[in-house]
This record gives sequence, C-alpha cells and structure tokens, in this order.
Amino acid sequence: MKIVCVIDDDPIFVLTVVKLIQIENFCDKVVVYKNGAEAITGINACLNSGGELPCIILLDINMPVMNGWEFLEKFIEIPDHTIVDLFISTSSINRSDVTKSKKYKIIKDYLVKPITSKILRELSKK
Amino acid sequence: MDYEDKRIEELLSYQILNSSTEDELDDITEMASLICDFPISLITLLDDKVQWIKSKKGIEIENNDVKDSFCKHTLDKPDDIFVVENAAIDPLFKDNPIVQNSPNINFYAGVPLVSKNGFVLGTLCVLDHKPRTITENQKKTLQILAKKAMQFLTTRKLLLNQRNEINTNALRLKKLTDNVPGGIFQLKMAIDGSLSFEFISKGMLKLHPSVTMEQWMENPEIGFSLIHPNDLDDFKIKLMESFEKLTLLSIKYRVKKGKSYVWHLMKGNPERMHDGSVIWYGNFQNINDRVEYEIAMEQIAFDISHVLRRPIANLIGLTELLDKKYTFTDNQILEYVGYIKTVSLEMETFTRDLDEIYRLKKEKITGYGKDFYNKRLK
Repeated sequence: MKIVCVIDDDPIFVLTVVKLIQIENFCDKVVVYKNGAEAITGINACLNSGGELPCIILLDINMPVMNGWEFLEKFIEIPDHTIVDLFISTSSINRSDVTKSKKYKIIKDYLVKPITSKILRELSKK
Repeated sequence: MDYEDKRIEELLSYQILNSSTEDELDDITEMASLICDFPISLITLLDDKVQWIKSKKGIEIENNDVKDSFCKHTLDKPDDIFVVENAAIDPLFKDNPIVQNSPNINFYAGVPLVSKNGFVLGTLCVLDHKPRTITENQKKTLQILAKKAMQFLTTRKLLLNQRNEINTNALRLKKLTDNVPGGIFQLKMAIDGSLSFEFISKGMLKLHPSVTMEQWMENPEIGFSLIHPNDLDDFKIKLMESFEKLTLLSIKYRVKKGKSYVWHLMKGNPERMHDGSVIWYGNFQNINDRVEYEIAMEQIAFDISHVLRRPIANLIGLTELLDKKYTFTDNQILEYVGYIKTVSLEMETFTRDLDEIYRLKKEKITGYGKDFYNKRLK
C-alpha cells in the first residue's frame, strides 16, 4: 500500500495538499500529523501494531512542540527509515534552512510551498 | 608695503633677533678679526629700532639704537662695502656717541648680509679705535665671511621651519588620534607571545571606562578579562593566526560594559619585525548598533521568508485547487473561498503588524523616537 505522510501544523496547507493528493490519485492513503512529536509517536505506534512505513513524507520545518529538524533526529533512529522518500516541504526560502537540509542524507529534496500538482507528479518519479 | 616693511618682515622670518648666541657666527667674527687683523668684529642685524648684536669679538657692546649705528648706512646698498676710514673727521659720524665716547670708534667697514630676496638684514663689520685703511684682499675676505654668515642664517631658518612643521604635524596627529571615535593602537606581540601597546589613543577611555591609559600601557592582557567568556577563545585564536600567517586582524567580540555586554570590533594590519615579533596597526570600535541592526535585518529577512511566505503559498495552493480542470460542488467552492478569506486576513494582520514591529526595532537601535523622524520629515 502506498502511504503518504504529511507533517505540518498549517491546516490550510494540509487541506489543500491532501485534496490535491486525492484528486491526482497520488497514493492509497494519506496520514497527517500536526508536529514532529505527534508524527514520531504515530509512526512508531503504527510500526508496533504491524503497520508499514509511509513511502513518502512531506515534512515542514517550523512547527510547534517539535520542529522538522528535531523530528529528523528521532526519525533516523527508526530501523529501515531509509526506504522512505523524505521531502522537506516549507514556505521558507531561508538560505540557512536550504544549506542545513543538504546535511541530511535522508532528505531527498527541499520543496518550497505551494506544492502544486506538477511538483506532486515529479515526486513519484524521484 | 614699502621696501623697509618688506625688509623687516624678511628679517623676522629668520627668527633670530631674540635668540641666544650662535657658535657659528662667533667663529666668523673671530676669523674676520684674525685674518683681516682688526681688533673688533661684529655681526649685527637691524630692525626698524634696534641694532641687534648677534656676535661680537674684541668689544663689550649691547643691542643699541639703530639711529646711532654705522651699519644702517649699508641697508640700501646690498652690493657695496661701507667704509669710514676716520670717523672723527667725518661730518656724518664725528658727533656719534660711540665715536665721541667709549669705545671711541674711528674706523668702520661693513659688508651687508643679503638675503636671497635681496634684502639687507644686517652686516658683518670690522672696527678699529684708530683711523686706518682696508685693502682689497681684506674686503674680499670679509665678503666671503659675510656670505658664510648668511648661509648659516638661511640653513638655521630652514631647520627651524622644518622643526615647527614637525611639531605642528605631531600636535595635529595627536589631536586627531585622540578625537577619533574608537581606540587607535599599535600593538606588539613578541615571539614569546607577550603583548604590549606601543601606542594607544585616548579613545580607549570611552570604549572601556573602567581601564586607565596607564593600565593599558602596562598590560594589554587586561582586555582579555573584559571579553565575553564565549568569545575569548575565538579572539585568541584569531590573534595567533594573524601573528603566524600575517592575516588581517578582524575580530568581532562582546565586552563587558557595566552589567551588560556590547559588541566591539578589533581591526589591525600586521607587520613582521626583524626579531620575529609582529606589530599590528589598527583600531578598536564599538559596533553594537551595527550588530543590532544586522540582527534586525536578519529578523526582517526571517519574517518575510517564514511568516509572509506561508499565507502566500497557501493562497497559490488554494487557487491551484480551484483551477478549472477540477470539478467542485458549489459548497466545496464556498468552503475554499472561506479559506482564501482566512488566509488573506492573516496576511492583512501580519503586514499591519510589520510596520509597528520594525518601527519599535528602529527606535531601539537608533535611540530616536517617532517624533524625531516626523520632525525631520517636515
């Protein structure tokens, strides 16, 4: 099953991107978390109950409770995490964020919002 | 200005009237006496009132009134030697006090001392108590000696002017360095790593009110105790790096000022000495406003890239969804329009707040309130 996981605190972004994923028939299932902490708990709970890791994660950077960078530190502790295609999805065009993202091997690409249908289609090719 | 005024001005420019005796001039009068065989020899300089005796040989005589002098008769004849062979019978001089009374002068021969601009400043003269004559060779000798005396006066004037200029320049330089904002320094590091200030300007007192100039001169390392502990290692590393590789010194660091810390910048140009030591020429300055400004600019950039871009991205996302190639029910469309409105209002509030936030930042950095700018705009 193809699962896409969206970790973002902005409800309007989540709403539009989920809608877009559905319209584009991009995957079988979308899971949404409001911040890094919820995501780590959710993913671990899913794995413990025999579920599988998502194929794609869209990760925001600036979030309350646990931000994107902090989430990444936890996420790489999960065995098999490398099978996930993780994308940073943020509205930040801050250079230091872009530079920082290059230090993580797990990050496949740095996507600047808005996420359009064109970007979504290209994601599946990567 | 007539000829006499110009002559006096020229004479004064030699700065010699009130000065003490000069060995070089004494040698010349001595030679004039010995070579030409006259008991008395003088070098005199004449202003409008006084005949100044700059050197005397064979006579005790003080500066005297110019109107009684023999020498005044040379002033308008720069090319001639003025000779009086027997003053006692000369209608011009027979009533002169120095002829009538002691020292009872009877013979006078004066060679004018002529400046480069052609003014007679005074004379080299020989005198005798008895009437006599002077030979052509004696005249020639006196002319050569007068030329020597004039050369000495010219050189002396040149040296004095140069010294004055150096003094003026040194004074000006000191005033400049003392009044430049920040501290100008010449800092030396010996090969054993010990530091010493070869020069430091008074601006340091303003930068570090708790340290006296004497303390800085005694031990520059007193500065280390003022630097923020988190910046001290970096400071020392950069100083050593500049010492070893002669890289330009440019260190940003925080120093204690009262209870808080302010940002300072040290800049210096290193130069290696023969003994292996390094001397930096540079300055310390307070860059706190600049750093606060940089932080504010970064904050603005951050606000724009993070906060403002988020609703913009959402707006684009929403309108992309509403693109005509998808089909939505009327209710769905209404829902999305509602979101667009929410996002627009979010942007409206943010941009409204921005103005206020940046105004407060600007006030904090510059120390000037709203009134200051309003007044300037009027």
